Formats: sequence, structure tokens, C-alpha cells
Amino acid sequence: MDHDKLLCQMPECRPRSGADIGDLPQEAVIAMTYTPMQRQGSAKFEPGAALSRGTLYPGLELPLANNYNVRPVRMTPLGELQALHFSITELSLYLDTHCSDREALALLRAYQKAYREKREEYVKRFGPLSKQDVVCSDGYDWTDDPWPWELGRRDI
Amino acid sequence: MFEYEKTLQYPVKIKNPNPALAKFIISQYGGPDGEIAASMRYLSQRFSMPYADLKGLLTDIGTEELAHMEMIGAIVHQLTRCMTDEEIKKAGFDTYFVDHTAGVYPQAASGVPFTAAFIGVKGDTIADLTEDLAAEQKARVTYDNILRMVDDPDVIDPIRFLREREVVHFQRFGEALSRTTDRLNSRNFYAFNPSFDRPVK
Repeated sequence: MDHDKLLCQMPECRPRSGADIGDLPQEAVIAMTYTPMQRQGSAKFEPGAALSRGTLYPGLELPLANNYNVRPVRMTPLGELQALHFSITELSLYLDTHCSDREALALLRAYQKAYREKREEYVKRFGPLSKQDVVCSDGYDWTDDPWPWELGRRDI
Repeated sequence: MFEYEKTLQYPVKIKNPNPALAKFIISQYGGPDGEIAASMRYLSQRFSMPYADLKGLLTDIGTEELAHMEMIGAIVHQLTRCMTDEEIKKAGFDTYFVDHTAGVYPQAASGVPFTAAFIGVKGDTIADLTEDLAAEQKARVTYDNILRMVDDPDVIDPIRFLREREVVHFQRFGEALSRTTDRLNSRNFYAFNPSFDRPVK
């Protein structure tokens, strides 16, 4: 990998913006490590793009060799569910250190609602995601193949 | 407690088995900067964390790392399916194969088995969070190095996702350290151990 080439070829489509700049304490005393706090209201990806890129926040997407090209995750019923679940995971980590961000909290509620609805639909069509979902009307289906680490017969 | 959700965090669908890749990707399962080490580190550090918000953060990141461990297991499993004796020899997978066949065993790329010596739980808020910052960077570099060795997009996609998670977790642990020092006296952050010493009434 050519170091100098990479340094001067920072992609222009991704300039560092205000959303990438965080806040440091005003009185940063010595003998301590400081990471800027991510600012409230940072730009966000939609859930599908967030899952494909590995973060909800464009400001935190810092790929090896400036390679911003990703193959989008296919938005199958499971893909949609994973995208919402991931966005909730990511927002929760942000809220763990930014508990007073009301906009993020509102977005979390919206994603939770969308996730609950999608999950219910998915479980009805494709079977249980957790033991709480197991309904034994058609027999015990919790253990049915494929398990998540296997390549399924159907690509769902 | 933990309950299983029957799905991966991010899809792993590898069309072409390739045991030569599994040989080193296994390091992010049971190696020094792997996902088992990450989850055990954070989930164990929780017990001495004094601050509610950061007990939450360690729980949430530690739990996410369990999902990453499962993703790496899935990658290794799919890369090593349907292998012939000839392919095993050609890929240099024979040394792993004699001990573990096509099973997924927590070890480093060098063959060193997983050990708790890979993680630190110091019982001191600043020391533990500083360890976590370093751990996320080391895992990020391991994923960098894996990406340098891989050209199959089916493998690159999930590895790229996992690498990006290390960057996000690094940011959150840095913020956690700020949330810690916010609560301490900046005259001397090291006057006492907030994980151990009781606050003076």
C-alpha cells in the first residue's frame, strides 16, 4: 500500500465536516488521555446503509486505504431486520455516553417500533428468532435448520 | 442473563470454501485481540465499574462482541466446509486439521490456544478503560492485516464491518474515559481508585 499516495488521495466526496469534529474539555490537564465527545446531531446513515457500512455515523466511517466502496447488504426480510437491530445497537452505544441527547432518544424509539413490527412479521413467516417466539401449534420449530452460521437453503 | 437471538448481526454467506483464509481468520476468534477476548474483557470489567452509564456501555459492547465471535465462527466454518484431503494439504490447513478437523477452536493464527492472559481486568476505572482503548486498536489492526490478505468479496464484507466496529467502540471507550474524568477532581485524577475506594461522605 502506497502511503504517500493514500495521504494525498483523500476522497473529496468525504471531506471532514463539522459533524466529524468533537468536543474536548476546556481544561485538559496533562497525564490523561482525551477523546473528543461526538457532537449531538451528527449526520446519520439510514439503517440499511448503516449495516452495510458498519456504523450509523458517516463521521466514524474510517476504512483501510480510504476504501469507502461497500457492497450493500441485500434488504431481504432478514436484512431489513438486521439493519434495524444494528441501528438500535449503534444508537444505544451512543446514548450510553450521551444520555441527554433527546433527538437520538426519539430516533431510538422510532427504530424500536419499526423493529418490533418487522420482527413480528418475520417470525410469522420464517419461524422463531428467540425461545419467546416458539409457538408449538405446528410442532417444535426452534431447532429447525438452518442455524445462523450455516448457508441456508433459502436465502432469507 | 443472556438469551440467544437466532440470527447473525451481519450476514455471512461465503460461496467458495478456502481453508487457507480460515487458518489466519481464526485469530479473531480465539487470538490475543480476538472477539472472545473482547467479550470476556468487557463483560468481566463490568463488575467493578462504579458508574451506571459505563456499566451499560461495557454490557452493550461486551454483548456485541459475542455476536462478533459468532460471525468469525461462521466465517471459519463456511471457509472450511466440504474440504478434500488434497485441498487441506495444499492450503497448509493440515496443522490445524490434525488437531481440530473442521471444528472451530479458539486459537490464535500462530496456534496458541485462547487464554485469559490475553485480557486485563485491573479493577481500576481509568486503567480498565485505557486497556479497552488499546484493545480496540489492536483488533482494528488485526482486521487491517486480514483485509490485506483477502480478495474474496464474500469474506471482505463481514471483515470490513467488524473492523469498522472497532473504530466505533474506540470512540465510545474514549468518551467513557471522559465521562469518568468528568466525575473526578482534575487536580489529581489518580488520588483514588473509583472502582475500589468509597466516596468520602
